[in-house]
Amino acid sequence: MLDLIIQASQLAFHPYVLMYVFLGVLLGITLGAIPGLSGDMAIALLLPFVFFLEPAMAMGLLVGIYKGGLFGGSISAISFGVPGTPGAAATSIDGYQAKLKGKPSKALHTALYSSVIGDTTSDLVLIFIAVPLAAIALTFGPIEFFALYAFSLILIAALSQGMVAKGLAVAAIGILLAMIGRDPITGAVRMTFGIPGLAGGLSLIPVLIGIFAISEVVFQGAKLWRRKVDRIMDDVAEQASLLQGYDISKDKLTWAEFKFTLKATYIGAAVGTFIGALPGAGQSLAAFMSYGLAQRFSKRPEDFGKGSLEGIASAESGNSATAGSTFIPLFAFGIPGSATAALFGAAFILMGMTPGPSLLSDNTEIIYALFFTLIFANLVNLVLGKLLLPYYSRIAMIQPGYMIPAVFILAIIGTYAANNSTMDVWVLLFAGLLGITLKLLSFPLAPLVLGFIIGPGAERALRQSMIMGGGDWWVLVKSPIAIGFYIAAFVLIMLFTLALRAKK
Amino acid sequence: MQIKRAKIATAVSAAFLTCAAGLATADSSPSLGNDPIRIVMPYGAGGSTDITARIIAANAAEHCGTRIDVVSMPGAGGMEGLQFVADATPNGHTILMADYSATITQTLTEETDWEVEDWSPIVHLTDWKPTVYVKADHEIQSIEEWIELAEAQPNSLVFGHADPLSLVHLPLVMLEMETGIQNVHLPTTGGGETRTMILGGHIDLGMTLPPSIVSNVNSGEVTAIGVFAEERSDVLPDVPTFKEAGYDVSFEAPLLVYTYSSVPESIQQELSECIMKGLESDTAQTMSAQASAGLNNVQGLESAQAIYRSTTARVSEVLAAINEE
Repeated sequence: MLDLIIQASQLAFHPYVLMYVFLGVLLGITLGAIPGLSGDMAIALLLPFVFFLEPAMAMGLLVGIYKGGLFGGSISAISFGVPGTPGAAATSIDGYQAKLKGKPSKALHTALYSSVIGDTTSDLVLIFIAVPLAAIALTFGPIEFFALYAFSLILIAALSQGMVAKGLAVAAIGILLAMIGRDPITGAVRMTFGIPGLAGGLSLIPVLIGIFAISEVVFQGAKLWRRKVDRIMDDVAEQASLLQGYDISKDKLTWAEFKFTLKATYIGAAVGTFIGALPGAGQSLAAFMSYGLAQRFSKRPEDFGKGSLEGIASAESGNSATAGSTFIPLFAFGIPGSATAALFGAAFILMGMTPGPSLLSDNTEIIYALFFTLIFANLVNLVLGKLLLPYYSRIAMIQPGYMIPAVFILAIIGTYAANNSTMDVWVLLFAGLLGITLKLLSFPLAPLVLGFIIGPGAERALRQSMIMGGGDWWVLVKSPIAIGFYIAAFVLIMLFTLALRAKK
Repeated sequence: MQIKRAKIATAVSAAFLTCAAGLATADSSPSLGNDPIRIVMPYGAGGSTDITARIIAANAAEHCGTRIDVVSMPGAGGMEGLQFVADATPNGHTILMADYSATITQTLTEETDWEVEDWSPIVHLTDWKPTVYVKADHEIQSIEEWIELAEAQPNSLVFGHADPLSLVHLPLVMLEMETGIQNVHLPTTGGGETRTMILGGHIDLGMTLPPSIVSNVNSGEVTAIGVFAEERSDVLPDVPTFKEAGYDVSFEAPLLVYTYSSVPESIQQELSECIMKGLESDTAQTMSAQASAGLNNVQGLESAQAIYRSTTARVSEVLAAINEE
């Protein structure tokens, strides 16, 4: 074990790896701070290029982008009341109010500290729970796996942005798209409409990049076209100038204030870690639930919504605490519980590692190096955040406009380079179009990708169970673990529905 | 994980490596010219085929007189790679490296622009030996015990193999034809999932290639009970072949280098010879030993053609039997 830790730390703390972590955090914070651009998009675009890097370096870069992006979203949320990422929506409630009251620096520092505390908690939970969980996963056969997949799909669909019907519909589209290609049981080619290039199914990379990057930039482009963003920015500039008599010397976060927010931060860390580990729940749900709970336990609940630092701390710690725990289902069962986990899963595959119960045992060294990197990236986030906070709110003013051609070119080059396949480029454009259409109809996009990834597993597990059970449907409830998952899915959805209703 | 379709090629990195390894500037042979040769693999990243292709690229370049690049094209279940080679200018600069799944099984069972005969094997690299294994504490611990139990209770044993009709599935079909036993065939995503199900005690038997279970055999977690090959596997020398046990079933999977048949025979011959020369070098043999690539008995054009014909006959026979059912 000691040998392993030494080897892993040598991998993780190699100067180049550290450099990539820095680069990643910087990039992530920048993109997170610009409304409409997110770390997920950057990770999707960079996926095909991780080939050029050693695994440890690639991990450093991606982890950096991810964590920086999680915090970066709070910058524009606080500075302009425009969440830079969906996870920062709850942060903007109190963050922007605090800023208007002349406390932008206090708000940003609170967000930074709570973000780092929440994130670190979550990483530690991942490190200590993933290993034993992966051991449990070995006891899972097709019946248990089908129950787990069904549980995940139901949660993903139901929990994405609280639109159950829309989430389910989009997840179903994802499952349907994944069915194109070879039948997992008979090997026959199906649903290709006679296009030979589709015989192997749609590749994951173009689907990911199309959904996460192409659709997003086109959308941003259309917004710019309609000058909506300009208007938002004009309003922002106007409101920023309203901040008269701002005195920077009075806007320093004091130790007492920080201590007062700690309880809210811990609540956020706990709630976020738990929610993050559930497939499909995601950052924004974690942030809102933490916020609600922190308000209930606060000594000054009446301040919430009026610029309370506790509100900022709970929301920000809640959304950042999903960072580590979102990998728990991926490491233990190979199930990506969030868009980010799906992207990391794809990155593992690029590096020749299969996510799932054997991920740890087959690649112990690099995974432990990843654990070190996860923790280290939080430090980098803290240091860079501290140094650059004064400049960050300016980053958020950057117009996403001229990112559009860059993203497009990167997406097409990266997609082609990944598989040397022109078919993939068509798939990319198709996925982009599909993403745009769904966005226009205000459907959530994450369930589509997760359905696309989990669907084939669910289908295979179901049909394997049926083959083993000789065609008897009752085989699906012949395992106590499976029954447990079905009950858990039902109970959780009930709880969340009630909680969301109570909040409204 | 279920992202089987995220089949990402190592084309880029492989190209990098081969640039580094294969910048040979020997006298180019008159017919091949100085353009780089592309070895197309219809597989994704990180497999054993990947390593084999790179060993060829690194060692054959100086003998073939030009750089060799490895291109991975896993699209359309590997068919995209075959299509690419079939459509390339027939000058011997785009060649294919594949086992029989792509060139024979899929050609016979799917809509393709080519026939089995349109692939012309030029080098026989190695033979993969499909191996049956069980969990170490399973009641079956030998070929005989398996056959006995399967005869006594037909369709009670669940047998995990990778894709249907793959090279770790067809030998099972052949054995059932030979012996009349019946098992429940369970397709899985591949060697990893089969192994997890075996270790978890969810299924009875599995089939895979020796390198992927050798560590589990050595650690005492699983028992390999039999090999579908003429000779025992170098990697698992203690495991008997089915022939030794008295069942005349052997179904090795040859790994071959092909050109498309429209490439002139003189060029085929030349390519075959320069690749052979490269692989017989000491460096190539050392690399192969390190990576367990099994390139210690590389055969040339005639032997490759012969093994291709016999494999085609065998696959056709099994597919016909499956279709009759």
